[in-house]
Amino acid sequence: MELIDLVHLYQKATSLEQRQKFGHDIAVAIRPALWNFLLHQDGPEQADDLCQETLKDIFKNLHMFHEETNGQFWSWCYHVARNKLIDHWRKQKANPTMTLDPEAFWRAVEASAQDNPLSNEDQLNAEYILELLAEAKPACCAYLWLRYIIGLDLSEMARMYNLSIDAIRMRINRCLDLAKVLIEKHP
Amino acid sequence: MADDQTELEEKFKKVADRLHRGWAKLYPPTEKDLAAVQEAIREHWEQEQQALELIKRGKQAATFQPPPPEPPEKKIDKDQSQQSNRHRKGHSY
Repeated sequence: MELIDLVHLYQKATSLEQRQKFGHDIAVAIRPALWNFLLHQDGPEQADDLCQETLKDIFKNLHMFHEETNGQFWSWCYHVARNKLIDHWRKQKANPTMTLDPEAFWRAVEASAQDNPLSNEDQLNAEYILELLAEAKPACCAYLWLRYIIGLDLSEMARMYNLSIDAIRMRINRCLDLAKVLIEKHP
Repeated sequence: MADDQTELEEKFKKVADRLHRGWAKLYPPTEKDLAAVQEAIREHWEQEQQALELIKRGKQAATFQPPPPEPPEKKIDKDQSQQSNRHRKGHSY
């Protein structure tokens, strides 16, 4: 069942038991990616607490979500997570950061192979993308990670960086081009 | 150039899919997370039920029929008492 179908079932549930069942399934589906999003933005110490706060906020406000696609739901969830991060940064008087951990990257790729073994092509793809992210400047790495790995849509990224959608699209494209050039220089 | 980009985006997509599957294996929700979610859902459900109850009561109040006018006997009583008062007042003058 698609994630968005679960969301709609949750919203239409007519008893607390039904709602808690669908809520459990939604939490299981979204938690790993949200945790990773928070981890890469703020490190493992804070990710657990922030993730739990994010999940609570999502379920307190799910009645206000009225969109129709998985992508829109993911964007909405990341929007909630991002607001949690901003509050946290404000309290800590810290700046947004983005860390790329190659070991964690490979751990996740290997874990995915338990159900779906890695082909040679998959392995090369993963190596290429990791190299591309590692070669990119930190700001570019963050843009590319959020856009393509986390899967934020352009409008959400534009809000996040306080830029227009066109401006964020141009930055992402420029980052892609730069990273490709850097990889070609150091094959 | 555009083809290059599409190809690269496709590569990203495949890797992202792998990473998301891997994360789901490595970082499933903890018992604490799930308990917090269940609690948030229950709290919200209760608030919703309270709000629905208030709306229901509001509708009942809106459809509430006003009581029928006072029976005529009472009016007569009132008139009579006013008249008798006037009489009394008249007497005092």
